[in-house]
Amino acid sequence: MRDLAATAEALLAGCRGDEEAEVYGLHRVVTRVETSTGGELRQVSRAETLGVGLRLVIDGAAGARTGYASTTDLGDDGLGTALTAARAAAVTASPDPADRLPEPRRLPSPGVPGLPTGTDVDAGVRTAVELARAGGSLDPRVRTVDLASWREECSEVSIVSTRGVRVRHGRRTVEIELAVVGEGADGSATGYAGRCDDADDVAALAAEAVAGAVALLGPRRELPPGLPVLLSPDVTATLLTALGRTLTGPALDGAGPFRGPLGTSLASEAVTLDDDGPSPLAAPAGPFDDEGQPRQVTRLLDRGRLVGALHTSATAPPGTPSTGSARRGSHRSLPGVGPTLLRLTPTVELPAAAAVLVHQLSGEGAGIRPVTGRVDVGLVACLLDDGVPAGRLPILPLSTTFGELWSRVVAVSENGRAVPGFPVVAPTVMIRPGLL
Amino acid sequence: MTAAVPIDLDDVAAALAAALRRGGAWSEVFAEHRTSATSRLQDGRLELRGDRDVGAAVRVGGAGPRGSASTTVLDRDSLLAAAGAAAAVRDGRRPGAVLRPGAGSPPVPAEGGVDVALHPEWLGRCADAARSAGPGIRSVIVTIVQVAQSVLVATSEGRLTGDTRVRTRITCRVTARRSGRTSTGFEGPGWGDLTLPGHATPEAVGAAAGHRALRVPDAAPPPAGVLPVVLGPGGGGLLVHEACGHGLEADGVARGASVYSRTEGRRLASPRVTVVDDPTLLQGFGSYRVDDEGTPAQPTVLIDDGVQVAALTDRSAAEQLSRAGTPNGRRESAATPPLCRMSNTALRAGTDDPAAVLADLRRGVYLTRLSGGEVDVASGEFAFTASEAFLVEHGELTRPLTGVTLLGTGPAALAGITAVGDDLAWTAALCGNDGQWVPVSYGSPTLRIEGLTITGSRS
Repeated sequence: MRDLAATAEALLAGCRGDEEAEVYGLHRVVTRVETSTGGELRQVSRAETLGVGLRLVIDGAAGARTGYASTTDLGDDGLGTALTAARAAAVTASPDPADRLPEPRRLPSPGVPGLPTGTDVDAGVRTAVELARAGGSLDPRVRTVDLASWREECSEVSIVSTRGVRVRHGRRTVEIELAVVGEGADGSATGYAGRCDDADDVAALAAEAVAGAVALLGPRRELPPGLPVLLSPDVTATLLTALGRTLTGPALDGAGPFRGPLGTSLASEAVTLDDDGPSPLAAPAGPFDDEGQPRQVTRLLDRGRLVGALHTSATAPPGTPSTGSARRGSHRSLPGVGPTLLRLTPTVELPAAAAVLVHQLSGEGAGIRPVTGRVDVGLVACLLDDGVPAGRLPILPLSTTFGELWSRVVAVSENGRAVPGFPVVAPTVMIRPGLL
Repeated sequence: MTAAVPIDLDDVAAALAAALRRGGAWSEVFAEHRTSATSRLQDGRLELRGDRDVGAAVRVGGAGPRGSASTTVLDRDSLLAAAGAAAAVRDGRRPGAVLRPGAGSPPVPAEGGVDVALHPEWLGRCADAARSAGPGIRSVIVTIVQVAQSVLVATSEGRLTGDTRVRTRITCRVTARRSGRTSTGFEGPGWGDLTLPGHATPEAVGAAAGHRALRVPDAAPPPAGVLPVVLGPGGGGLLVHEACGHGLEADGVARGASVYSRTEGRRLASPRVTVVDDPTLLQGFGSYRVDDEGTPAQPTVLIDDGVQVAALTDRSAAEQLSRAGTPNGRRESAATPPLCRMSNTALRAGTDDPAAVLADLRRGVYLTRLSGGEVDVASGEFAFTASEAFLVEHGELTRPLTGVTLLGTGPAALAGITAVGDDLAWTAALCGNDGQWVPVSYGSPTLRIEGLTITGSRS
């Protein structure tokens, strides 16, 4: 049984009349090409996954209870086992009035059913080889190409429920990435660049990665006082994603560092932030979110003031629709709430002056904490003089809060771009002096 | 329940042969059956889920590019399609030879299965202990994850082997608010068994997380600068894993992308420092009997009495470096190709008395736990955040510190180790690399390290 929608319907049909259920089906084919120094082809891999996740709600005397089960075994036995597991989980789970499946809502456009056809893998090989060759040849200080990769994901999502949700959508995405290692007399440094579009200029991508590596070579310079800080798009992507996670309904209701009410100032006037759900740049793009509700543009911050929050059908206030912000990693996850594609409104072109340019964060996994709003990380940075790299700085400690960081933003560049692995369009952002 | 991998060995043999039709020195089939149970208690609300995954991957390797393809459908047609996709990367000029894998079932050891029946009780005991830590606790989230995974590995050279791995992890996250400040505490032991060990009772896990969260509001920013640091038992394990272990994964070494690429055979630390990766550790969170390429598990000494002596390899990296492989080819699932990965990695216990190590510290910082960090493998530079730290004055812990970050480089940290206690302790974790997450553990005894930079919060 390989048809995704038919499999989902078959699982739904196994539910009893007193059960409510939603089946999230995923068919995904990921092809990845990896090359290294000299354009040497290192590996080509292809992974095909077919899986379903079952959210089952039973309504007992004490209220609704939800159980969840997933499987990639789509035979009759596998589906039966998943149904039994979800049922058992629901019986044991706590009752919760928020445990409800969403009603179907009209989508702004129908999804495109079917698994998209992937590109000929030879095209991906050519891109990855070209990328590795360019990355290794632009500057003699590049010691090695750590990775040049082309990754294509073709996927189809199908969601059906006993409430009447019936949505399907397929899409294809491509990411290309390059990581090079530069070497000088004072040590080595890594430069990285990534894009979410294979039509991008490979030469420009290589130049960006190489420039990032060589800017971090050379003797460490002292940090001059009083300089503004420029966050590169890759660094902005990390910090903006963390900010977005604090602007969900549950986070603003006590699980995060910020509180309402609407109108509260959380950032500087330079920060206007939208979650652009319908954007074709969004990784899970399509007309619906991961519980089948229509995606929308939600303004979160307007000139620094809180004007909105992200919701799923379960977190939205009573009588208020979801903002189409249900997110799942795959068929193995229950839907949670999170941003789809965060986008900062550009302000003015950044002045090309002396500044600290932050290329990478170190320790961001544990050092950026959306629950407490604390940021304790190392900054991998260089000096800029008239916009030109002017020497590597030692790792700079940054210990601050989300509130302080975003209240210090003075400018947002127009160079925003999608960054692989992040739900953002990330630009260069300027922070006023005094942060470090 | 655990179960054998639902795959036909005749289909496996056919896939091994098909994968070599366009060349390659060897082919391999990896197949798995994995069941997992997850339960979560968040502020009194209990959620449970169960997952069952099957999958198989076919690889072809040898000199030249490697090909890999996977499927979640374990029938003959799907395996042959995967073999064809994996073979497509070869040039077609040198068909490879195939020996039929050994007959019969692979030696998959039997283990118990995952069972959520006890989860609600464990969750409740843990949450109660966390809330009992003191006033000010706002939120308690306890999660239990149990996994049972059976794997089969067959190769064109005739190897047929298998393994069953089980593991349990219980994590507790506590959020507290006192004196107008929000703080968090975390504890998350894990082990390679499905029963509850004596050292990780739910009560102990909850109490540790609760006390950690409540301690932070009383904490002060640390003194900034270069100060001697004492890491308590287990506290330096993350540093060993990140600043040493990742740099000694052989794929990065072979590409010249690691700070340790050119230092094999050189002294990196004092003779009291020995670092070992050991997948055979009894009930270790990162333990296995064979790795995901079928290589039998055994310990690998990476740094021997201060000298860098080895790197962790998967099959491809060993071939590239022309050396005997180590059992460190690991994959998150059939959908992802193997990489060189750590298992249970530790800096071995020394002979120093931990109490004396602390008592000898005139002024510095004592860290019981690093909560996270990251290393640039090429430069060796790292930043680690401490989840629990104290100022030390004249050998005494004088006040808790908050927002402590350690900065340095891996080689400098190794060279700066001046005391190694006799009290090795382990921490469980999921380690991410190239988008793949695998269970690992890391360990260290009490360590004193000179030359690291301490930074601290201003707010």
